[in-house]
Amino acid sequence: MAATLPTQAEPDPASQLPSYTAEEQALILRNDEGIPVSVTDKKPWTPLKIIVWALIALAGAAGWTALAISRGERVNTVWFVVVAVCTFAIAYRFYALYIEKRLMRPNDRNAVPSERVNNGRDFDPTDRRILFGHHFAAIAGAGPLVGPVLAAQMGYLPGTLWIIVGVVFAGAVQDMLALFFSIRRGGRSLGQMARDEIGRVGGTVAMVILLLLGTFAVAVLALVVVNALAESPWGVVAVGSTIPIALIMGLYLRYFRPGRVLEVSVIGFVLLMGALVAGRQISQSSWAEHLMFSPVTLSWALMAYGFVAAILPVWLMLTPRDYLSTLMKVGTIFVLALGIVLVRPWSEIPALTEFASNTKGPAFAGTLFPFLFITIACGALSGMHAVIVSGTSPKMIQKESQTRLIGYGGMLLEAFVAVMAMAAAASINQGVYFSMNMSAGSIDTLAAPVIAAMSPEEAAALTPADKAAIAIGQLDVTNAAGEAVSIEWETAENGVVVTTTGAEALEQIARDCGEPSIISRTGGAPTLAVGMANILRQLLGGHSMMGFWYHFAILFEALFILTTIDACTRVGRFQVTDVLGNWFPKFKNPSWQPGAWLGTAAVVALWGSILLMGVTDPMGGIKSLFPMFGIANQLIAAIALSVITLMVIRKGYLRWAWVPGLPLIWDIAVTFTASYQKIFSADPALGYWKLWSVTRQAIASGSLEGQALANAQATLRNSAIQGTLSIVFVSVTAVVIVAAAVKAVQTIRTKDTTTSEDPFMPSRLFAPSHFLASRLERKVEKEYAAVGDPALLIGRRARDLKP
Amino acid sequence: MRLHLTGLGRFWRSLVWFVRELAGETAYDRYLARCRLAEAQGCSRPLTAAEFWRARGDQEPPPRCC
Repeated sequence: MAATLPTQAEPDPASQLPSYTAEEQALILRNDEGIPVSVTDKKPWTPLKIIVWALIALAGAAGWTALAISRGERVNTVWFVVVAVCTFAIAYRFYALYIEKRLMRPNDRNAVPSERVNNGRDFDPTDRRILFGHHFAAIAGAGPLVGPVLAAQMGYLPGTLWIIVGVVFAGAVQDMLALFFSIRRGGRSLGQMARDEIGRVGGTVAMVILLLLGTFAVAVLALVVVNALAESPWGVVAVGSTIPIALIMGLYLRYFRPGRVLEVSVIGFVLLMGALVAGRQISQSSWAEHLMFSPVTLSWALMAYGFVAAILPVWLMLTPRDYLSTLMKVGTIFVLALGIVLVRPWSEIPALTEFASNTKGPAFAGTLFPFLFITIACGALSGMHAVIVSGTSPKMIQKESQTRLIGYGGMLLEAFVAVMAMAAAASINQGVYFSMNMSAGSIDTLAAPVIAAMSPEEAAALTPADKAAIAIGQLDVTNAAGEAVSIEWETAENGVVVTTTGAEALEQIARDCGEPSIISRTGGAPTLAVGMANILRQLLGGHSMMGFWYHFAILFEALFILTTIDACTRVGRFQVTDVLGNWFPKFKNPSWQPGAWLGTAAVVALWGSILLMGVTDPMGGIKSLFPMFGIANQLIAAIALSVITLMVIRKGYLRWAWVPGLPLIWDIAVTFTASYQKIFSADPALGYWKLWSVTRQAIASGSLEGQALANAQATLRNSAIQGTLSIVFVSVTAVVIVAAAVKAVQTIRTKDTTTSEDPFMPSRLFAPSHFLASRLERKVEKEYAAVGDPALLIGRRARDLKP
Repeated sequence: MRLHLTGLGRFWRSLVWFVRELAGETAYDRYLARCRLAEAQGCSRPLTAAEFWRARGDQEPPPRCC
C-alpha cells in the first residue's frame, strides 16, 4: 500500500497532467494558486436522462398505487422496496439538490475542518465513499428495525408512508443541515452549537437534556434485548458468546496480529456462527434449564456487563465488539435486501387496521396521530443522529459539496433499512404478529371473559398458547379481506409442507425457532426475527433452518444494541466525570480509577433503573416505555431542528427557514401532542397520571390482594416515574425551543446576521462530490495527484490517482 | 471475455480497497506517509507498527447511535 502512495513516487509532474478541452477547463474551479478545488456540476438534460428519470418516476408512481390503492387483496412487499428506491432517488436528485443550491450553497473554495487541521487523527480528510460507510455505521442501529415492526399493528401503509415522507422532508434534511453547519463551524457538536447560537443558559440546558434523553433511549433499547433473550437458552448462548469472542479478538489484535482488523473480524464471525450452531445443541441439552433467565436477572446481567465494558480498556472489549457488530450490520442488511427481492414475500397485513384509529393496539397504545410518528423515530426522523454525527463526520469530510451525499444519502439508506423491516414485519401472519406483541397481561385481560364461561376443568387445562389463541379471537381487528384475524403458520413435517392453525400454530413456530415459546415476545426484535427468518429460510436452508435464521436475526439486533449500550455508557461516564471535575478536579483525570468507576456506576444506575422499571412493569414495559423512547428521540430532533432553523435565520436566509422550519413545526406538534396525551389523557391506556390515579383508587379500595396488589403497586410506582419524566423531558425541551425562538426573533428584528461560521480559508484540496466520480472529476483527480498538497493526498485511493 | 474479466477484477479490487479502508487496516501506511512528509518538522523516528497499533487500540471507538 505504502509503495503506491504518491509521496514516494516522484515522476515528472508535467507528464502526468491531463489535457482539458476549453469547456472542461471552464467547469474547473481553481484557487488563487491555480490548484483545482472543485468541478462545477453543470450537466445538461439529455433525452436519455429525461427518459431515465421519467421511468423512475413512473415506477415510483406504480409502486405507490399498488400500496395505497389496493384494498381487499394482498400486496407484494417488493413494492415497498420499489417505492422507497424510486422516491429516494427523486428526493436526493431534486429536493436535496434544491436545498443544497438555495440554502446551503456549499463553497468548495472554502477549506473544510479536515483540511484546516489535518492532524491524521480525528481531523482526517477521508474519501467520501469510506466516510459514507463510517457515517452509516454510526447512525444506523436497532432503532430503524424495531420501530416499523411495532408500527405494523396499524397496517403497512401509515408506517411506510411516514418513513418515506418523513425521511425525505425531515430526517435527511436534519442530518444534512446539522452536518453542513457543523462543517462550517470547525466540526463542533450539536450541544456546542446550541450554546454558541442560543446562549450559555439555553445551551447548557440543551446539553443536559440531550444527555438525559440519550440515557433514556439506551434503557429502552436494553429492554428490547432483555425481552428478546428472556427464557431463551439459545439466544443467551449466542449473544453471551459475543463477550468471550470479543475478548479473544481484542487479545489477538493487541498481541498476536496488530492491525489485522479484517482477519480478526472474519475469525470473530466464524466463532460467532459456531456459537449460534452450538446454541441449538445446548438449548436441547440438560444445560438449557440453567440458561432460562428471567427478565430481571438478565437486566442485572446487562448492567454488570455495561459497567465492566465501560471501565475495561477499550481494545479489550469495546473496539473488537464494534468490529463484529459493524460486520454483522452491513452483512445482514445486505442479506435481508437480497431476501426480500428474491423471495418477494406477500404482505399478510392490510394497508390499514382498526388500531390506526383506536387506542386498543396491543404493541403500543395511542392513535395514529401522534403515536405512529413517535413509534417510528429512527428511519424517518432521529434526533440522536444530529448529536452522534456532529462530532465526527464533519471533521472527516473533504469538501462542502459532499454534504448531500453523506448527510442526506446516509439517512436515506437508514430509511431503506426501516422500509425493509416493515416489509419483513408485514410478511408475518397477523395472528402470529399479535400473539407475539401482546403482553401476558393483555392476553389474560382479553381472554378472561371467554375463560370465565368455561368449566373449571377446561379452564385449568388451557396452555399459554390456547389462551393467546382465545385472546386473538377477542381482538377487534380484521385482515386484508375484512375477516377476523386467524393464526396460521406453514411448517414442514417429514418434508411435507403443512399449515397449522390456532394454538397449535403458535407452538409450532416456537418449535421451528427453537424457543420455549414465542407468545408475548414484545419489543419488536423477536417479531422481526420471525419475519426475517421466514424470508431467509426460503433463500437458504428451508424449514429446518428456521431456528438458525431466527437466532441469527436476534443475535444481529442484540449486537447492535449492546454496542450502543456500552458505547453510550462510556461516553456518559466521561460526561459525568467532566461535570464532577468542575468541583473535584481529580475527576478530570480519566485514568483515576475510582473516578472512572463512580462515573460509570452513575450512568449505569440511571439507565439500569429505567430498565428494571420496564421489565417489572405489569402492563408490559415496551408498551409503556417505547413511546417515551420515540418521544425522547424526537425531542432531541426538535432541539436539533430549532438550532438549525436559528442558524439559517442568523445566516440571513429567512426565506429558506421553512426548509428546517416545517419539519420542526411538525415535530413539535407530534412530540407535544404525544407528551400532552401521555400526561393528561383521561384514557388510562394512554395517560400515565390517569393510570396512576385509577390504580391508586383500586389499591385504596382494598379489593386487591396477592399478585394483583403487587402489580398495582408496581403500576403506581412506574406510572408516577414515567409521568414525571414525561413532564421533565417536554418542559425542558420547550425551554430550549423558546430560547431559540427568542433569539430568532431578535435576529429578525435587529437584522444582525453576524455569523458564527469560521472565517473563509482558501482550500487547496480537490475531491469529487458524488459517490461515483464524473469523467471530468476523475481527470482532475489525476491532475491533483500531481499538483496537490501531498499532506492532503494521503487519504486518497491509489488507483484514482494513477495518471 | 477479457473485458469481462478486467471488469470483474476492477470490481474486486475496488471492494477490497473499500473494505480495508473502512476497517482501518491502512492506518499505519497512512501514518508513515504522514510522518515522511512531516520529517522536516521533527517526526524523525516514526512509531514502529507494533507501537502504532498499540496506541491506536487505546483510542476511543467511534460513537454508535440507535
